[in-house]
Amino acid sequence: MSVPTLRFNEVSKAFPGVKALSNVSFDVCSGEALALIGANGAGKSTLMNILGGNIQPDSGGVLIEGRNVAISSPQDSINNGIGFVHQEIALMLTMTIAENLFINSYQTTSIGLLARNLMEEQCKTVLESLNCHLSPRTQVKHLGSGDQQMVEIARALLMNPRILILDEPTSSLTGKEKSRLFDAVAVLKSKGVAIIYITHFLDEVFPVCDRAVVLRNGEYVGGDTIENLTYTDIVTLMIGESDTDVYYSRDQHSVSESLNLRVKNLSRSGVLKEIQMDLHKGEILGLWGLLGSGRTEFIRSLVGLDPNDTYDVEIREEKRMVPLYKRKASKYFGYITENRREDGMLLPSSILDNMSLANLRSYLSAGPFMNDEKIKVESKKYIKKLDIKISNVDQPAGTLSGGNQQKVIVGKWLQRAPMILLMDEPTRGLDVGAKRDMHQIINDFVQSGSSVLLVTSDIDELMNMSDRIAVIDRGSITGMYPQGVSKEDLMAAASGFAKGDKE
Amino acid sequence: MDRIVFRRVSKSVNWKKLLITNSSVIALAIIFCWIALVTPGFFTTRNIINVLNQSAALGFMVIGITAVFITGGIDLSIPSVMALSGILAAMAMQNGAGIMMAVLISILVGLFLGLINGYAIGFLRMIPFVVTLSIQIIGMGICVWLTSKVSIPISNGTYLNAFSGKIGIIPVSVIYLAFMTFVATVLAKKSIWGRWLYATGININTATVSGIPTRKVLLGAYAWSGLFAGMASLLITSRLASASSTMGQEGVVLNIVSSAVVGGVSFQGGFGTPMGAVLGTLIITLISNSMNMMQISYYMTLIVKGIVIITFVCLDSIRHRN
Amino acid sequence: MNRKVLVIALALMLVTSMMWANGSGEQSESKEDNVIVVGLAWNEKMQSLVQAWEDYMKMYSKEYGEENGVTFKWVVNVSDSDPIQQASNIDDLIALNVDVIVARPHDAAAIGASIRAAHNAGIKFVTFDRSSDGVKPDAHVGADSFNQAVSTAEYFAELLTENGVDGKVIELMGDLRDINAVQRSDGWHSVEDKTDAWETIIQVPTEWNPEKFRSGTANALEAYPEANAMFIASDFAFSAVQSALEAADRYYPVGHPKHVWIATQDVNPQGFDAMKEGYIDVATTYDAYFHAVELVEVVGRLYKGEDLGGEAFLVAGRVATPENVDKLDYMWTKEYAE
Repeated sequence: MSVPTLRFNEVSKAFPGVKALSNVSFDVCSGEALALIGANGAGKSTLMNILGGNIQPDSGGVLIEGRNVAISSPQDSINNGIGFVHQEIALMLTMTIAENLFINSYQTTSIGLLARNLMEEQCKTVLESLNCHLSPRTQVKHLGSGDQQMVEIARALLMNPRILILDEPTSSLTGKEKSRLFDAVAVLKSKGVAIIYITHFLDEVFPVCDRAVVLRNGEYVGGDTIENLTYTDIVTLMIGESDTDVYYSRDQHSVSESLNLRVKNLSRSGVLKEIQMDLHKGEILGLWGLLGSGRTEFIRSLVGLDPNDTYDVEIREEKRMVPLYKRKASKYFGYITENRREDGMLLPSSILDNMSLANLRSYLSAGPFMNDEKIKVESKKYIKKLDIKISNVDQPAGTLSGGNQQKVIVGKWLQRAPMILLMDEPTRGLDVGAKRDMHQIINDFVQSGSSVLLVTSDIDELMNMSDRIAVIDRGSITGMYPQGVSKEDLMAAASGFAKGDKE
Repeated sequence: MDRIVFRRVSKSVNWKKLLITNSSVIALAIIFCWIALVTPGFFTTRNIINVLNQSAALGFMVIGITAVFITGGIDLSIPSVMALSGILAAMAMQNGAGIMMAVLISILVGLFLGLINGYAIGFLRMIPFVVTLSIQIIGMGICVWLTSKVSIPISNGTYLNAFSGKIGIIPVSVIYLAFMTFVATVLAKKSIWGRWLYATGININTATVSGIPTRKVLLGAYAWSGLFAGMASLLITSRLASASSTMGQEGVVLNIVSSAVVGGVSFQGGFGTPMGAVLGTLIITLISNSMNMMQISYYMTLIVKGIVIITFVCLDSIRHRN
Repeated sequence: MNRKVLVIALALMLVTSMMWANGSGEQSESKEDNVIVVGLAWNEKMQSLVQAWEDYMKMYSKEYGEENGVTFKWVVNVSDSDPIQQASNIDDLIALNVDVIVARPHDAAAIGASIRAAHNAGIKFVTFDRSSDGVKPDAHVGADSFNQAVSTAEYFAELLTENGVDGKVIELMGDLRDINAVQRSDGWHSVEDKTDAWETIIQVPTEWNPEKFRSGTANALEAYPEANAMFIASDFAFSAVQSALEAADRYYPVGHPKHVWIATQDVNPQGFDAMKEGYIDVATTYDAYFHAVELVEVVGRLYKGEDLGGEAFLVAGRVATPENVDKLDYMWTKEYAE
């Protein structure tokens, strides 16, 4: 074969504390679609950010048609014929298709007016090449998400890219829209464009792609033409063998038969579909799903941060299950998220203010006045227990490291001791020691009869900690597995292969 | 490691931080020095008391809006709420009501309109700008309708003495302002409501999941603002010995908002103290007082005022970025 | 936290030390002999009329000062149509210890508190243009609305009689809550009662709203096609009247058979040209210059210690016609027209 259109040559990149990419090399050729596969944190985004000119590799480089190129800005990336279609659709809804296509490259006539006709003509040509028959004057808000995705692709094609990156292009598409997308990919291939197709959904890889490359923990772990791979091969490559020593091994404990929470129907159109689940007393329920599967949205809905179409939930009050009103959700739930900036913390406030926040009513002294001494004593107890490293309790929480911020949030909820703790990636960004501490804390927490709903991308953590594991895929629960289920089954279930139960 | 790093960082930004966080106090000091140098007759007891007296009513309204600013909102309805409270109280006194009744009417009218704002914003999720602007317009309409643009004189001596009299050389309005500043400061710092308010303003999501009744907090903040507008009307109508719809014109908002911003109360929510807000009020009053004392032309006064406000809004956004 | 306290303490120390160093003389303006310090508290300054008043006052005070051996010093502030700010501004003038305060009250009732405060400090107070409702100032200077209308009406009567016209008059009144508007109307009718030159067939209140000037004219012409004359309470909204007349095909200068005889008041920039061209037949000027002259003289008398006992000094204005309007001196509308 001739020179590949794009070659990654020994690319390495380290972030403080993490090796994001180490010596990754592979090729993409003209007219082929390459699937780039890897679990969350495998290094896909870092690689694509390097290609997009957003970050620079520490060593190694990118070759385009055999020449070494330096991509130091997004503009360089465009100039080198690289086009991106991102996961989130980022269109101006009230503008027309043509206006969206030319949003950063308006064409003008000789006297400086917008060359509307010219732009609409070009727009039409590009859309036709994708077998997409839309009027350039249609407002984008009137399009379905499939057509919107086509507009995104058309926008990337406007620059005549040699290389096109499709990042999770199907995450918002229905089955029919997907097949149109696949057709479009085939058209592009026939025109000689080199395509990198990034996806979590392994079922899409086989019909669309010619080859697959798998990354794990920033390393290239394997790749072959699609004919030589089975989905089991890919899953095995994605998971690898892990070092289970770093995980806290959880004591066996008994899960009570009685319930703490029953979700009868939680729905939000386009995001969550009739989610049902039970949470027992003393149980840790793992929730397994890929990025964009709806796991975070489920938790946010449950705790009342996101809107719902249906919120039919029951909670244990004494010995009975009673309906839970969304307004009252915060009375029963604690919520720990990796997204601390948005929902987790008051970054400018002091550590004390953050730790006492969920529990203010129990620190009243007289009337509406706070007993600051008691807050200090209580919070210090948890600071010590959780080993939070701080210089003083009045320091703003925003100045702490991520791991310590997370512990402050945990400390806030332990003071409150809610019936149910919803944890979304509680150990993301924590070092090994801190992870073990966190696991110990979670374990101790459920001993008292409370429950935990644990969302994590770390499959070993999930399998170690959970009493049961629910799999969520595209907004609905697709399977419920007992402790001891195999990683392969979980991975397959979350990637859209198993529907409902184990194979 | 973390510990050492943190300490070093905090020490190196200290001066800048000190400058930014105490900008209003420093500005006050600088303005004072400058005026003292340029205007020989400025530092007379009479004028100092004069400035404090002029600040009192504005100070009340600024303490009110501070709570709203902390939630990240705005209250444009304060002037007409104030005017309406004053007009209704004055009408009551015209019809023979006593001072207690007048005070009660002022406070309740303010509180009621504040509750309307708060309900619309907290529970119906309406946009503060639109809601409070509408209330301002409606309030103004009612004021004009009630008075036919003719001002209502107040001749109740007890009332006038109670709110615009003097104890020794100190105007009572200044004492009221000092007292309410103290009350507001204690509530902000020590009460659970204060904690709720700041948490809601810094991050309403975090506050909601932490079990804080954020909707009631919003309701309370606007009610507080209305209440203080009602109290301000007592000082204003007694000072003017009359009540009229002209008291409630929109321009007053500019003074209220600029006082709060100059006093370090952030537009963007979460920051600011009643004490700072009152200092801001003093600065704004000082600007117009000192311009008068220095006999600077009217047009220049407008320009200077605008520049001062922009400077502090700029400081606010720098502080926010940090 | 402690630092903040420290900064506040330092600021307070600074203030007190300066007060101590500075406060020896409670008198802020050092009083020189024969210098009259006049504090002038405008309620607003967005109209050219206000600027005209101020300039004329300063101009004439030089003339007056030279004759009487005194010097005027003006301290001016403006309160943006805010009665509270006006009270504060007057407080500032009192703190400056000026000799006489001149205020154009924004609120006729609220100004009373300021007058009282000035008197308590031993400072003379003059209201200008608008009067005070409750507390009496030492003097008031303003326009004589009644006599302004009378002089217009008397000239109008002669005019109609000379031309042999039997007047059917549409009267556009001002805002009836405004005492000036009421007095203009009263002045007009006091002459009407004595003459048979015309008859007022309809009165239209306008609330000083230009749109009502327009619609009022249009409706009245519709209802009374026989109308051949108008009395307009002020010509500031004359362009609105003009457009209504044009729409009814009645806008013609004097001499034309379809001419509507118009008497009005003030000679504002909006009516100046219309009069020059013969559309308006008579108006009595609203004389900013003579108001200013009267004011300066009243201030001078108060400074000399005369007790004017709250007397009102009213200026009636001069009769302007298409023949003389261009030749009148001190026409602020000419000098301040854009």
